[in-house]
Amino acid sequence: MTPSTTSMVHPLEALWSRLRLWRCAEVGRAPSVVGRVWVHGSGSVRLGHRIRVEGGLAPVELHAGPGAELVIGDDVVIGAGSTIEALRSVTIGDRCRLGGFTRIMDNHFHSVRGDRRERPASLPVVVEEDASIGWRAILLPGARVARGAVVASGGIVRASPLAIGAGAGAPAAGTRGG
Amino acid sequence: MAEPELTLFQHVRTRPLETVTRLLALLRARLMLRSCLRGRRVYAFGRVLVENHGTIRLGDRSYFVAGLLPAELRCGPGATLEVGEDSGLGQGVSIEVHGAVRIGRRTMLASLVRICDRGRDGVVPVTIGDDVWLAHGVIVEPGVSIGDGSVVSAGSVVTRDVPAGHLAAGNPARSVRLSLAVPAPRGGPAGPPAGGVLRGAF
Repeated sequence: MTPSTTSMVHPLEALWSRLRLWRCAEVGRAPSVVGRVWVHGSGSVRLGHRIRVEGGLAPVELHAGPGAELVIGDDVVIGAGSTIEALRSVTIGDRCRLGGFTRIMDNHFHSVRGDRRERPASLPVVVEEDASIGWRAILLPGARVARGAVVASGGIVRASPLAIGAGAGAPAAGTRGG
Repeated sequence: MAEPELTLFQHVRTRPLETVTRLLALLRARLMLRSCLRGRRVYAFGRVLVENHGTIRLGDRSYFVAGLLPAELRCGPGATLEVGEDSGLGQGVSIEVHGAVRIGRRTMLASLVRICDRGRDGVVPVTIGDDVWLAHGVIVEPGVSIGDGSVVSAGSVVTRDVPAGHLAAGNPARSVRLSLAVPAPRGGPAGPPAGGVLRGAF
């Protein structure tokens, strides 16, 4: 499918959506927000042109922590109930489609070993152009989704396939090049 | 690392915003968790939907994390849900109890975790130990017990018991031993994520 460069969004709807996204550092042309969206954090959230946020079924959360960058490209669709959390850097390429209840985070927030209250280092998450993320998929810190790849619904993508994680939504099996 | 205790006055002076957030969370807990047996200083930073026909016991300083989706606690007639001290429940957590569910102390349940004790084999109790961390989207099947200090990876479905000090991942979850088993004992309770200093003030 060739993505359209012209927008179907009514100018008034685009204006209203832009107001809803007032916390974002940058919003491209003709955004479309349905339902609720929560943009928070002191970092910068930058959205491309013709972005579509589908927060009708469940609200969408975009979070950029202090000094963090959350960059979303053009023509991206973000499904209901999705949460994207950047404490350092999350980049989503042009024409990506995120399904509902997708969770993308670049930090585990708690240490597996030792004191659970300690926050580990962030690993940037990159989703390249034309990728498609299925419903309820989880992208863990350091995840990289290749150009045109498809992450299956409920799939889990992590930095490197750990031996123990073979059954965890199968990172490799869940993706295929497009 | 134990942080020094602050008096309420010091707390208000140094962190006025956090003081207000915490006071609101305490009030929200009183309102939304009014049908539960609450310990001291139970916080509800986010919304909680409670349908209680049994007994829900929430330990001291247990907390509900703020988020867009409300947490849900459902307790059937004669059922018991116990949440230990200093445990935290994330946004969108759903716990359905028909027999008994026990959650230990200092346990962390991330967002969209689902625990239910009724399934194919009827009602079988679920037990979650101390210092357990269930990551985002974990589903715990009926009859499962998770040992102290274990971690369950994001999106996993736990169908079998997880021994203490293990890391479980996958669907169905398989466990491996963590090289550092149960976390070292700490100076004090973990407390809500907003900050550790609250014992003296609240």
